[in-house]
Amino acid sequence: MKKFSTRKLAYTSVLLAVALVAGSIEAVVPPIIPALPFVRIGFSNVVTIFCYLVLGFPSALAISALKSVLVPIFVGNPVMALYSLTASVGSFLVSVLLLRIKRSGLPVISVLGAITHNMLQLCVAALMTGSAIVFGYAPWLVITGAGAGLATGVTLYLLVRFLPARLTENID
Amino acid sequence: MKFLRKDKNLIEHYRKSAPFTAFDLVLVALIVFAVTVCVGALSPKEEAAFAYVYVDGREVGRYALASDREIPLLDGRVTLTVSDGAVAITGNDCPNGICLKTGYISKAGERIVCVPNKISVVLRTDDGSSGIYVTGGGGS
Repeated sequence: MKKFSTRKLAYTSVLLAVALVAGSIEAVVPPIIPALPFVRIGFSNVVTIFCYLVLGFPSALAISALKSVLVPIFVGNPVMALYSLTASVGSFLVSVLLLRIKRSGLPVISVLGAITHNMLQLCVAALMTGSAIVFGYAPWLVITGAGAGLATGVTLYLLVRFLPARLTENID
Repeated sequence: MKFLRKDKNLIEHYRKSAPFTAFDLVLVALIVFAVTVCVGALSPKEEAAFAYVYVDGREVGRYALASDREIPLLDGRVTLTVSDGAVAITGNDCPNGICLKTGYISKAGERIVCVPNKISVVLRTDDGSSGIYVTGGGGS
């Protein structure tokens, strides 16, 4: 089994901490759309994708899974953990696929990630409430997902573009 | 599975690439298409015949949409108005008034909900079906 260097572990942990802070702040700040309080911009996903680009799949997957379980616990809303876990990991996997084919720009990849995140949350909600009525919200969630994805995506693009290259080379 | 093996040049690729590419247009077009299809397929279309009114989960009345009238609920605190084959909540003392803003509904499957007063008005056709929604039997 390939060694997972201590250095990489340390970097992953730091990025996880950043993701946790971002996620926790977003969770306690007043909702951007009063009618839909669970809609958040999701900057912690910028950290996840950034981690994927720099540190690879295992690190990023760990960050995605851990932040989606820990942030709801820190914030005091453990029920969200299941929604968050499925949605985060699912949208992360979709983003990984899109990133690998290297044909898209980062903002649109984020938009698609955000939309699948919201759709997965809807699916979990449908399973939890046992009814399909929740899918009525689907069009709204596509729109908010697109907006949030654009915000996250542009941030990610700027981050990747303007971060000095020497900071991210040879981390292994 | 070569596709999935670690690619160390990912970040370099994205560092150099432009924010939007031609492929993005394909993806966006796909999303818009998918959403339009879903919204079109799921919109209520059948004209409804009856308004079923539920308070706190219990059915309190069924009203044919064919006759215009006003229906008081909850000792007059809430008023339903039926006119021209459509129904709306026209008077309510609830804090947000979302139900009032919903306006008139006339197609099977459409509903008006007042969460604070626990009222839901659901439209169904003659045989009790809600059009496209497939609920497991008479759900409110």
